[in-house]
Amino acid sequence: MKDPILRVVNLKKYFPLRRGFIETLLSRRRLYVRAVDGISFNVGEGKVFCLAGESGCGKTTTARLILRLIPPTDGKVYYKGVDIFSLKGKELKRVRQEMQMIFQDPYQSLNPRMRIFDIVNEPLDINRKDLSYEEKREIVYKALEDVRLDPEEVVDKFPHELSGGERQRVAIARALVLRPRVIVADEPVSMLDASIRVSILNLLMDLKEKYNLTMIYITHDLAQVRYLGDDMAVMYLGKIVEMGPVDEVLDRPVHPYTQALISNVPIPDPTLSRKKIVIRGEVPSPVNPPPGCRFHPRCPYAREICRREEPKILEIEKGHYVACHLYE
Amino acid sequence: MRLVSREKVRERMRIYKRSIREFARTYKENKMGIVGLGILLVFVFMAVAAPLIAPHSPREMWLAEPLSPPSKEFILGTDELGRDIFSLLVYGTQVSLLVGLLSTLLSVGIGGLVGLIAGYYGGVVDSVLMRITDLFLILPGLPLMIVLAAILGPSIWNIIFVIGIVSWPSVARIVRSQVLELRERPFIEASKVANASDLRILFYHIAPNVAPLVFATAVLGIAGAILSEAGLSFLGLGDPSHISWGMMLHYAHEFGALEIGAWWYLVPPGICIMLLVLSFVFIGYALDEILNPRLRRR
Repeated sequence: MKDPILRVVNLKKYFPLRRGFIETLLSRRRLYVRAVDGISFNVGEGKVFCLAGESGCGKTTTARLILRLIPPTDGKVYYKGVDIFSLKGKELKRVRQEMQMIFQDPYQSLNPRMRIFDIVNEPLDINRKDLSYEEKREIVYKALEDVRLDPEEVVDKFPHELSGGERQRVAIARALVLRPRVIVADEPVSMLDASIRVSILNLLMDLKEKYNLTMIYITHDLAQVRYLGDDMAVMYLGKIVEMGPVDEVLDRPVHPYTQALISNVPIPDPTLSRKKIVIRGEVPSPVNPPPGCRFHPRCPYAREICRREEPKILEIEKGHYVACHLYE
Repeated sequence: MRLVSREKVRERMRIYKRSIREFARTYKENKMGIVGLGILLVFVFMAVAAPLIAPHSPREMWLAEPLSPPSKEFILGTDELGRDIFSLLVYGTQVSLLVGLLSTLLSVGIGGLVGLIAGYYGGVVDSVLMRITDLFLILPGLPLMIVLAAILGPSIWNIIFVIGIVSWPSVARIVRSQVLELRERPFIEASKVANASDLRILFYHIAPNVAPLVFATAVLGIAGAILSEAGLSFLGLGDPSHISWGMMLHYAHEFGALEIGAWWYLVPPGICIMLLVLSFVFIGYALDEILNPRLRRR
């Protein structure tokens, strides 16, 4: 494999829990939410890497860490071999231009008081002071055409005058104007109507091909992973439990959690039936994760060792990794 | 620096014109707002065209017997120095409007900046700025104004300064609470991804989103400032070279207008103060209804 464009090594993010004044006086111990707890993965150039998992498993936190929107507790992220957490000032700005993000909620990610033109033009205004207004306008119009909006029609509008799908297209156009190499897409279609999801997904894939983008795609929907992913990682409570090529992981899942997730994806053909694996209980609190394997309280195969020791992530087949005592 | 291209300016103008048209359309449907705006326009006209409307100069004394009742020549009678009360009233509009606008501008300037910085940076900066704000907030407003006005001396600029200094904390509080909510919104994060600086985020993304609400509060603030000015002047702390409505009430009181039944000296400035304050309150409520996202009906 070529050198990966993005390398995440043992990334951690603990959020300190806010406590009341009295509590601070009574106990010394600070509590932390372990949102992301030591994850590592590589993303190959031009690939779509999917991060899958239920809500609260740390997917979005991972995205924000990779873009350096929040500082990490520990770990490294290398972009083209450069540790992005060590960057400052100009260097950071240069790298950020190459990594852009598409947010989950297009109703919240566009400034309600700005016209579409200004929204899409903002990254150029900040980063490309060398361009004239006419040049910038050309790029903005081109980007809007790329996302299949009619520039003439939308440039003067405010976000609230557009539909959810149109807004997400605007957000994509905005992410594209700087010609990034990596796009981090955080559940870009989960807030949209089912009817327009596919068109947005297709648009993303077309643009990825056209501009040879690398994409980190965050979703809880395994059907979307299958549709557009090359590689994937399944997260549970801040840890990666299984990772590998999408077809490999989805067709031959080995971790009990992944198996349960897949068994719960509805099959469109009613004549087919699949045994659903129902996992009991709730996701434990990330403030106080269970000792040993984090999945053991809900795992149908849990053994003694799972309660004591944390499983290491091992390569069971070429490129297919799993963190489970069953395979050690 | 590159010159802004003419095309860009033209495009901007077109966009602004459209925004103003949209705003005017919503405003027109608000009855209270229209009444308030109507009253205000009358007063603004009075202030601007004062030399044309007033039959006499406010400084002209001994035009008639002191405290003579309304007549054909002096429609609102004369004061204790024989000045034409109607003329005083017309010129007084200038003072009230000037003090109201400038002192509110001052309080919005200070309060807005403090609120923006405290809300956005949080932490120690926030704590320090907010404790200062609290300090100003708990100081009793009227006594403080009286003391300050007395120390600084009677000048219209001091009055403006005093009112501005006393009324900024509430603006700071409102702005801060808005900023606290706004800074967590994803569009702020989106502009951080686009390398936006703190300054840009503060003044380009957050401030315009706070502005409408501040605008509505500021208009209500003008009403408060006009009342404060009237109060200070009534207590004799006004600027004698700029006769205001409050000062007319002060002299009327001092020279016993009430005792001798000179209603023409007392009632007109009182009504003027009430109407002008009412007009700003009406406009403020109307703007609040239109601009405050929580009250907006769609």
